Amino acid sequence: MATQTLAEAAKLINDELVAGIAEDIITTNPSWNVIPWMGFDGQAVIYNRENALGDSQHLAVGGTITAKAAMTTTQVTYTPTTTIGDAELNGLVAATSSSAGVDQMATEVSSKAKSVGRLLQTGLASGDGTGANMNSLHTLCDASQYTAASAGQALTLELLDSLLDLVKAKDGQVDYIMAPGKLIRAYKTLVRSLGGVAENVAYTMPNGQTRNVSAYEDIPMFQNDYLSVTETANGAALTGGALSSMYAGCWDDGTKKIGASMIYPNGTPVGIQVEAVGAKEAADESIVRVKSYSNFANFNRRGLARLTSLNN
Amino acid sequence: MPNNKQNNQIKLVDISFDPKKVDCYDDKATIYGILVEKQGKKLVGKCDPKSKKDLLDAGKCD
Repeated sequence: MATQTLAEAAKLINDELVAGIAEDIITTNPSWNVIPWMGFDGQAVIYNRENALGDSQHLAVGGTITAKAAMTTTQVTYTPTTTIGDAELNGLVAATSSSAGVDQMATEVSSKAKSVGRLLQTGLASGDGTGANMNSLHTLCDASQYTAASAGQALTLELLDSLLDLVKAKDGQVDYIMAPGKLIRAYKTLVRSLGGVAENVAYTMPNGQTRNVSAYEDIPMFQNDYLSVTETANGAALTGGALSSMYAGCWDDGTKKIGASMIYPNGTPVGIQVEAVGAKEAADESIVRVKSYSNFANFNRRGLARLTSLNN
Repeated sequence: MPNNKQNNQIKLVDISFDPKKVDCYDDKATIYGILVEKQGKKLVGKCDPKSKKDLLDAGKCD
């Protein structure tokens, strides 16, 4: 008698289907876990920065005081933008999935929330700040906060030092360095070539886990693969070239005067909110809306600097 | 440093910025990493042609 075939035997067997979905669309950006989120009242958050100080003078005995000029300031305004997506699910699909123990809408909402989160991170790295687009490190880094111009240069420790020198918001203290993965690799290669060992700092993430992050002078160097690796010289544009940038700066401390932060209107949930909209009027579909009212802000132009034209 | 040698051999070109556009009202400053000085109503400096082209294409200089 011939043996039973696999195809015939399969009719009597259920294969194992692992519940849930393994993530495949992944972009490394641990700094997203540590960036502060700050609420504000009203339609925008506005801060004043120094423009010119009121003057002062040295005065000889009997001299006349001429230092009478008042200070001037410049106002900077940040407004939130909407990042949004609807998860829609047919009633029959929901019912049949539910009967098999799968909450299909939950899966869809989870995917939509991930998409919104990724769009926020993309915006932070490369948004152009126009219309409904987010502000980004690219648009918020002031023109005076760039390291020496170059048509193209390899990363050196001297360049890294010159980047750190430009961050002055906390009297020279720098909270973070951020760069795409290839620049972090270039940094590690540089340190190893000098006979050193690349430093790490153990960073406690908000989820309670501890993660090792590369460090330079005890400043965490966050890999952010959302940052462009197709920049033109001096970070003029984020596409069209083959160069990349390294950023350094300070996180804001809640005073809205120090550095970088995500902003959101007070009274709304921090980050992403989920809203059950209900049934569609003309179709058997229910809608759940996933959204975020937020934007990226930098509350001190001396709290963000950029090392450009890196060709590693 | 091959890159520095390379940069030294490049003939620099003039570049100018609108102070309003770059929010800089100092007589001397560094704009996009380029040393500039106030001349009339503009901030004027010198840079490599590649940098100027890219900044010009991005609408960041005059």
